[in-house]
Amino acid sequence: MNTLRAAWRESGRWGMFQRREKRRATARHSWLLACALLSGLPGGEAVGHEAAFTFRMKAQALAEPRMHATVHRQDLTDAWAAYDCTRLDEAENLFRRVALSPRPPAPDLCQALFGLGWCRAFRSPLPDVDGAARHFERIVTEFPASQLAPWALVELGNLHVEKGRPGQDAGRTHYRRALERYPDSAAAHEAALRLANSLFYELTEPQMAAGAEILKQHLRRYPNNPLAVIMHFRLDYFYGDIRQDWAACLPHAIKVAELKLSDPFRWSRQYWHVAEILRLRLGRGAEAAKWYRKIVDECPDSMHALVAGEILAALQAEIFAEGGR
Amino acid sequence: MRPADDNRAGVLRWRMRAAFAVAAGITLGLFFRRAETDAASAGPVAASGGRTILRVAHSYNDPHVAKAFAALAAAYSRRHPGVEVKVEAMPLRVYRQWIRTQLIGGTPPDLVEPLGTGGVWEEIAVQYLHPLTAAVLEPNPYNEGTPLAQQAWKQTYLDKMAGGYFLHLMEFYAASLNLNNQRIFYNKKMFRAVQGSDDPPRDFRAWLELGARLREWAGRDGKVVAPLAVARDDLLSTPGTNRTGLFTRYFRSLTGGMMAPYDVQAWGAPDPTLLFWGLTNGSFDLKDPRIRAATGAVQRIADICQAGFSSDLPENKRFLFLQQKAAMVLGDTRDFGIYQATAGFEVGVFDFPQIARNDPEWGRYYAGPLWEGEGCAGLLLAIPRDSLQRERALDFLQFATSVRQNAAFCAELSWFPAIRDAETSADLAVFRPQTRGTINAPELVSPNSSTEVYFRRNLPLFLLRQLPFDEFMDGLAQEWRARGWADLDRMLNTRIRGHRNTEFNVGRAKARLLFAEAGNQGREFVDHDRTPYQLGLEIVDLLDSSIVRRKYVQPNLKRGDYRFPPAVAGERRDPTWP
Repeated sequence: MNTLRAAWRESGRWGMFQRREKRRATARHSWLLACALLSGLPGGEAVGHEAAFTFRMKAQALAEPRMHATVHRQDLTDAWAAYDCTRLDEAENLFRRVALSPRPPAPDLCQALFGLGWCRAFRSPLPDVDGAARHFERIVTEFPASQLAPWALVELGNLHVEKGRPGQDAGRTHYRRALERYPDSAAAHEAALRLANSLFYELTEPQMAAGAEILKQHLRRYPNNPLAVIMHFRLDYFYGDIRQDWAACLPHAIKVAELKLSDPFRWSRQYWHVAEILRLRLGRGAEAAKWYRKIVDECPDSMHALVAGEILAALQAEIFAEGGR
Repeated sequence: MRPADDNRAGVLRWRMRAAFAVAAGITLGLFFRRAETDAASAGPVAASGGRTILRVAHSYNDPHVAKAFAALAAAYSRRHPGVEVKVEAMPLRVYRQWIRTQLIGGTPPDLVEPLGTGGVWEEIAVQYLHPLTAAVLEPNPYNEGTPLAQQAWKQTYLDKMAGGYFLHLMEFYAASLNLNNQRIFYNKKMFRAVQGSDDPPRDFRAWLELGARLREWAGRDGKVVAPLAVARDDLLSTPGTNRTGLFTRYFRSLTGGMMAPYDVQAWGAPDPTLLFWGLTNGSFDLKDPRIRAATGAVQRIADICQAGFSSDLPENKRFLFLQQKAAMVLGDTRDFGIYQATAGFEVGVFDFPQIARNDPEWGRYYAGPLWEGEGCAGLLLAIPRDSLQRERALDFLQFATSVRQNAAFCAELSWFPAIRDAETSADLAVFRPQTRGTINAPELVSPNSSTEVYFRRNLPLFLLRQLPFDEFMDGLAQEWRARGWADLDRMLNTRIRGHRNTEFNVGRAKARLLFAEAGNQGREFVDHDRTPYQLGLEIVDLLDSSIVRRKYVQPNLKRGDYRFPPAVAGERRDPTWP
C-alpha cells in the first residue's frame, strides 16, 4: 500500500491537484487582502465589509465546487448509486476497487475513502466506528490541503459522538480541529453546529451556555451562513425552553420565522411561537398581532389558523377600545 | 396372469399414460402461462404489435375501482397509443406480502401502492422506491391550459402532497389520487320516518336526540335497528394513533387549549409529554371538568351505537347499514360509491355535528372542530427503482393526478379528489377536509406505551358504563405515574435510534454536495436556496432539540427545579400553581 501511495504521490496528477489547491488558496487570500485594504480607505469600511461578505458567500458557493473524479468515474457513480439504495456491501466493494487501483488520482481516492468511511459508519446491524475512522483519518492526514479535510474531520466527530449522551469530548476534539484549522471552509458551519449540539447534550449550565456562545459567535462571523436558520432555531430552543429567557429567545425566534425552516408545514408553528412569546411571555400583544395575522394570511389551512384568527380579533378589539378611550 | 388381470393392467397402463399426458399438458401449460406472466412482470414488455405495457398494482380489490382505473388507463392509451396500462388489484392482506416479495425480487410492477409513509415503509422506500422529489417541484405537464399549469406539481395538491412525503427520508416518494375523510352516512328513508324530513341533525345534541328517537322508533315496530353503526377502532382508537377517530374528534373539540400553560415553547402541537409534566408537578388533573365533559360526550355517542360495537370490524358496520339494521354508519369517501351503488335505498351523508356554543352541558367547553389538514391521503402510488420504465410510470402518475383526470377518476368512484380545482359533485363537498381546527388539547396517552394499553383496555368499559369516570381517570393517572418515566425514556431512545436513518440521509445529501459522481445535488424544497443537505441537518437538529428539551426538563421538573412560566406576562400565579 505504501509503495502505491508513494508512487501516485510522485505522479504528475498529485502535483497538479496540489498546485490547483494552492492556486485557489492564493486567490482566496488575495481577495481577502483586497477587501481588508478597501475597508481601510475613507468610507470604504462598508464597501470592504460588503465585499468581504460577498466574497464569503461566493467562497461558500464557488470555492468548493463539487469534486469530479478523473479516472474512475463509472466505478464511483455505480458505488454511489448502490450506496443510495443502501446496498452498502456492493458500494463498499466498488469504493475499495477505486482505492486499491494503481495510482488513483487524488480526487478519485478521496471520494472513495469518503464512501468507504460512510459504508463502514452505517453498516448494519452495528457500525464499524474504527474502520470508518481509519478512512476519514487518511483524508485528514494525507490530504490536509484538500477541501475534503474539514469535512472528514466533521465525520470523525460524528463517529465519536454518541447521540443523546453527555461526555462526548472525543467527538468535540474533531469539531474543534475543523473550526480552528479550516474556519472559512463550508464544513465549518456544520462543525460549529455539531459542537454546540454535543455541548447541549451535557445538560449542565456551563456546557450548555458554552454551546450557545459557539453558535452566537459563529452567527456574528457568518450571519448568512447556509446553516444560519438551524443555528437560530437551536438558540431559540435554548433560551426559550431551558433558560426561559424570553427576551433573549425572541430575536432568534423571529429570525427562524423570517428565514423559514425548509418544511412549509412548520411555518405556521414558528409564527405561532413568536406571537405567543410576544403576547404571553413578554406582554407585547400589539406586536404579536402581526404574527397572528401572518398565520391567517399565509397559512390559512394550518392547525393554528382558527385560534390565531380568534386571538387576532380579540387583540384588534382591545387595541380599538384603547384607541377609543 | 389371467386375461382379466391382463386387461385390467392394460387399462391401468392406458390410464397412467393418459394421466401422465394430462399432467404433462398441465405442466407445459403452466410453464407457458408462467413464462407469459414473467414476461409481463419484467417491465417494459413489447407486447404484440410492439406496445409497451405499464403495470400498476394496488390493494383496492373493488370492481368500481377497477372500472375507474380501466377508464383512466384507456384515456392514457388514447393519448399514448403505444402504451397499454394493466392494473392489478388484490386483497390488502395478500398485497402486503406480495408487493414486498416483488420489490425484493426485483420484478415489481411499474407503479405500486405504498401502504404508509413511516415504519417499515420508510425502509422499503429507501431501498426499493424511486424518489419523486425532483419531479414534484416541477409543474405537472398534463395541467397545461388550466390555472394550475405554472404551479409545481406538489402545489396542485390540496394537502401540498403531505401524504406522499417521507419525513425522515426527506423525499417525496408517492403521489395520492384522493383524500379520505370520515363522515356519517345515513338512510334517508329512516330519517324521514322518524323526523318527517331527511335533513341531517343541526348540532351534536340534535344528533344524539335523533339517535334516541331512531332507537325508540325501531323498538315500537319490534325491529332491531341501531341508530349508528361503528367499527371497534372508530371509537376505541386512542388519541394520537387514529387522529380522526370519534374519540379524538370530540375529545379535542372540548379540551382544546387546555395544554397551553404547559406548552412552554408555544408550539401548539399535540404532545403527551406536556400532560405528563403537568401530572408530575401536580398541577394537571385528569378529572378536570372539561375532560369529564369530553369523555362524557363520547360516552353519549356510544349509547346510540350498535350492541357489540367494541368488537365489530369495519365489515360488520357496513353489513348492518346495507341490511338496514343501522340508520347511520361511520365511513369515508371510499364507502360513498359502495353505498350509492349497492344500498338499494337513498343514502345521504353529513359532516360530524359540532357542539353548539349555547349547549347547556358542553357549549362552554367547545373550542372548535378537529383539524383535518393532514394525514388524509387516500390511494398512494409510487414508482419502484427496479421498474425499467420509470419515466413512463412517472408520466402516467402525472397524467392520473392532473386536474382533469383526477376529477374524472374520482367522479367515477365518488371519491374526494386530491388535486385543487378538480371538480366534485355537490354530494362530495361534505368530504372536504376541515382546516379550521382547535389546538393544544391534552394527549391522554403516549403512543405504544403502557398508558395506551391501559386506555384501550378500559375505554370500552367506561363507554359501556361499567367503569365510572373517576376510577377510569385514577387508573390512568396511576399508570402515568408508575410507568410514565420509563415510557418516555423508551420514546426518547427510539428517537435517538431513529437518528441513524436521518444521519444516513444527511450523508447521502452531503455526498451529492461534495462529489459530482454521487448524483444531482437536488432541487430546492421551498422557495429558498436550500439543498437536501441543509434540510437533513434541519431534521437532525429538530430531533436533537426535542430530545435535549425532554432530557433537561424531566429530571429538573421531578426535583422541583423547573417551573412553568405564568400564563400571561406580569400575571401573578395562583398560589396553588407550582
